[in-house]
Amino acid sequence: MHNFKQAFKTTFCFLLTIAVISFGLMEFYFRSTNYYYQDGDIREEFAGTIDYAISGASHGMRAFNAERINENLNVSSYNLCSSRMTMKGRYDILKEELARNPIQTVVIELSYDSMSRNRKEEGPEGDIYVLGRLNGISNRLKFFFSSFYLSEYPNMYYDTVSRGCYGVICMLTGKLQLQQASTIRGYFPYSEPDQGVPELTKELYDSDTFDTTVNDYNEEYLNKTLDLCEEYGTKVILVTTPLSEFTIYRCTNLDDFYHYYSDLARERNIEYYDFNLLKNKTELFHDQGSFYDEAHLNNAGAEAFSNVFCDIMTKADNGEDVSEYFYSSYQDRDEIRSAHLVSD
Amino acid sequence: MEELLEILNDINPDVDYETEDNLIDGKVYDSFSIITLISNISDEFDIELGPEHLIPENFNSAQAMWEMIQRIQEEGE
Amino acid sequence: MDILSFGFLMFTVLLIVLYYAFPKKYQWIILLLFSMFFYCLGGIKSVLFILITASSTYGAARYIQQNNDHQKKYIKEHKSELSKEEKNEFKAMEKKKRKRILILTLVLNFGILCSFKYIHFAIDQINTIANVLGNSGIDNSFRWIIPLGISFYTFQSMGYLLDVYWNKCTAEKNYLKVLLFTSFFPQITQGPISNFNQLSGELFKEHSFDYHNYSWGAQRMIWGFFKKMVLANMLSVFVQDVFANYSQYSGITTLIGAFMYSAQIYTDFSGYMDIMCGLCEILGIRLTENFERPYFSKSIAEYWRRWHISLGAWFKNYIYYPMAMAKWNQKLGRLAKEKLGKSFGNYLPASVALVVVWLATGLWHGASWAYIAWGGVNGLFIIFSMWMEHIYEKWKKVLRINESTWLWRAFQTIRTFILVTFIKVLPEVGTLSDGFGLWKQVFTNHHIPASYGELLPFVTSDLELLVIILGLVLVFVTSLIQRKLPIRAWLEQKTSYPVRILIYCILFFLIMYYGVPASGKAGGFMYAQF
Repeated sequence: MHNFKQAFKTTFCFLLTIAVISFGLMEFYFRSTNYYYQDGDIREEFAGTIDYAISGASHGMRAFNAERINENLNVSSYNLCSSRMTMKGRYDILKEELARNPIQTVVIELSYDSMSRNRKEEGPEGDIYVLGRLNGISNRLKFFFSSFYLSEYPNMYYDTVSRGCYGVICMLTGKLQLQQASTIRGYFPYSEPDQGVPELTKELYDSDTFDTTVNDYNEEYLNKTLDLCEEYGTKVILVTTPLSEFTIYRCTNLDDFYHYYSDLARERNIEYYDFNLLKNKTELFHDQGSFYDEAHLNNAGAEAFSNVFCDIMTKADNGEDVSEYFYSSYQDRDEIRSAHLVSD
Repeated sequence: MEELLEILNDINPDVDYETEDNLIDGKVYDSFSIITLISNISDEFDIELGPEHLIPENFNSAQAMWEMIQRIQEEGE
Repeated sequence: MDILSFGFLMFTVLLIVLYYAFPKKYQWIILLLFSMFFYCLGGIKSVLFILITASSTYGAARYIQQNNDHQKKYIKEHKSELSKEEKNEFKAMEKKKRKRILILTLVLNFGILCSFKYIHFAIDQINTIANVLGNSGIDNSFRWIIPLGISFYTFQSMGYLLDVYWNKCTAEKNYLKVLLFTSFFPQITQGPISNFNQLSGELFKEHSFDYHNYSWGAQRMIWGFFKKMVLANMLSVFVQDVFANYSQYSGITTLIGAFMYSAQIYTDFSGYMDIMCGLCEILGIRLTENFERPYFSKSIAEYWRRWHISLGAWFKNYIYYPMAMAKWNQKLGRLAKEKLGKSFGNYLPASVALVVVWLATGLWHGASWAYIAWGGVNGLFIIFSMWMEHIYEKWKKVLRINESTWLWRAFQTIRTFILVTFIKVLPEVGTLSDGFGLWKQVFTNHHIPASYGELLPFVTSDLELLVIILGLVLVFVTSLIQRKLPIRAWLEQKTSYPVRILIYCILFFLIMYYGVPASGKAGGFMYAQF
């Protein structure tokens, strides 16, 4: 018995020491260095001042230039989007902000993968970013245990602790760069040049379809988000950001998504705008010039988009029927545009 | 016994074969010495030694070796 | 099962818990179940072969034992009736029966082993000859999956069978115990190769949980993971680079790469041993040691008594001695004694046996001419030093070399380490000509690197290099201490309990931070740039 007791004591002391050091390293990681989706401190600074929130994933993160929106709409906005954010992640962050800010309007960015995103297959990348964006140990722990799968725990432990180690090493070698600097009210402009969009060549690229399976889990959290906004009396606007012509050309079932979101918006009595269907979309956004890659706007594109978005919002607020600025569907767009080409 | 001691001293004269009883386990004899010892014993005493005899109990001391030799000469194993 | 995985950790924890939770008489059964599970993960089809080996070994051993017992009983009962000739005739006849079964079982099991290991090598040689004769040869593109650990378990079970044949141990009556002996998972992939008397004593006795064993075993496991995951795996990247690019590097860089290989192979192999021996220690089982500070050896012969000790012991007991004692070899020795003198007579049988042992050792390590050459080179050194032994003694007397001075011992150790490194590297670079190419580069390229980057072009991170160097220094210092007493005892004497906990925690984090990615286990979280 004595043997067991001593073994237990030693194992416990060892594991406790590991836990303490691990905790220290993890905290160091979350409070300092090297990855740029950490904006918990910044949002805390802004707490109480935000009245316009944008929620979404990477498409939204790169499209909504918060400063431009503030200028044009005379609001105090914040872009809450980050890459690969799941609907749950978006809900959790939005909930936090709704609780401490007088938010009047929430823009929800929805794309072809927002509903079909399969968290289990895709992995935890989006949730890792959210983990970094949350402030406070209890918030992070709550989010971790509610969002990550048991099979991911060892990998997450390894990932977080070793990034903490890396941070400590950076600090000791004087290379530590504290985070921030690259975000402007949540909007993350690109710091590198465009990766580029391939030239549109009919023969070279096969057509494609995006997965239309709606995951119950995503749908549940979208509805929860909409319910939450209703609770707070916040106005909700659903938006699909512009994609490159390359993507629109290749993908044959974008209408499926358009109709799904339109129906949802109609049910909930909220507005939905798909900016790919803007009649002057191709004049405003050029594949080689406005886009970083096939699906994300670059800095110039974000500027242009933010301006046109604000323009449409202002017109809508003034009671104008803005549907005349949009095609009624992708099919409609294709037909009208090819008819146009033929007649030219 | 004298012939055995002669063989042993020829291989390694620095050992006191009256008291030493750890020749194999104590690694006093290396594998080459053991081979030499075995071939000399089989020649001298006209017996056949095989791997089955190569156990520490048979070779750890001069006395043990002598007993083994006598046993083989009598019973043929 | 990959031992460098979370899955293996869970496997280990579960084994330890169940092992001590169940009544002691079932402990070996739990070991058997876990060993079979471990083996099945390597592929259910290969279980067939280990079962063939275990079953044939069990059957043959029991037959031989029963035959032997029957023979003894018969002789005893009819002692007075039989004449000496009749007794000898009867014994010879029975021995023939036992020998037949022995040979059959040996051929079966070594046949399986050789088929799997050497089929492609054999076909290559046949094809070479065929091509010379103008034929197309045999298609060598098929691939058989080699059963896990076949080299180790075949040797271990055949050793047991020979021990029974030579009356050195009694045949085990319980088939499952023989199966456990054959398939015991800590030994199955890299040894050590145990003999039955020693291992069965450990496996089948009842083990009580002991804190000392638990603590020392766990410490040893962590140390093993550190050596293997951090040092060996990080060094391997450098070594692979040098082996691939030595023709573009200076001689001195190539030499550094060769020394790094020596360090890598030691930390890798002995690290694995530490993990498994540590685990067995927690279970109260003593495995035979495979390493004893091999790079501190003063001669090649000594090196091979300190490196992969169990393999050397197996070859010594089951090839070297039987061959040196064989009648035809003894006859050869006698002939040599008559014709060429006493020393020839003594050395020749041993030399013949050594040649066989070393060629076989080479072949065991790998199915290629490079490995056979490697074995041959080792054998040559050992045979040569055996013949030169008394000449060396004379020289040392003439030069008045005091062998007990540290200077002489240091010279011997360094000389042996350099020799061993060169020999070791020969079959590892690629083909035999690649090995010679590397040697040539070391000796003929006298270019002095102009910069640190040119000296060590394979280093991408200075910090990683620092960790490796410090780690190797740690291993070296630990080895120095271990000449006098086990390092864990030294730690208990010189450090306090909290300091020891901290030391192992630091090792844990080093393993985590450097070892996991170096072992290719990093989960692959990359920040996608959207």
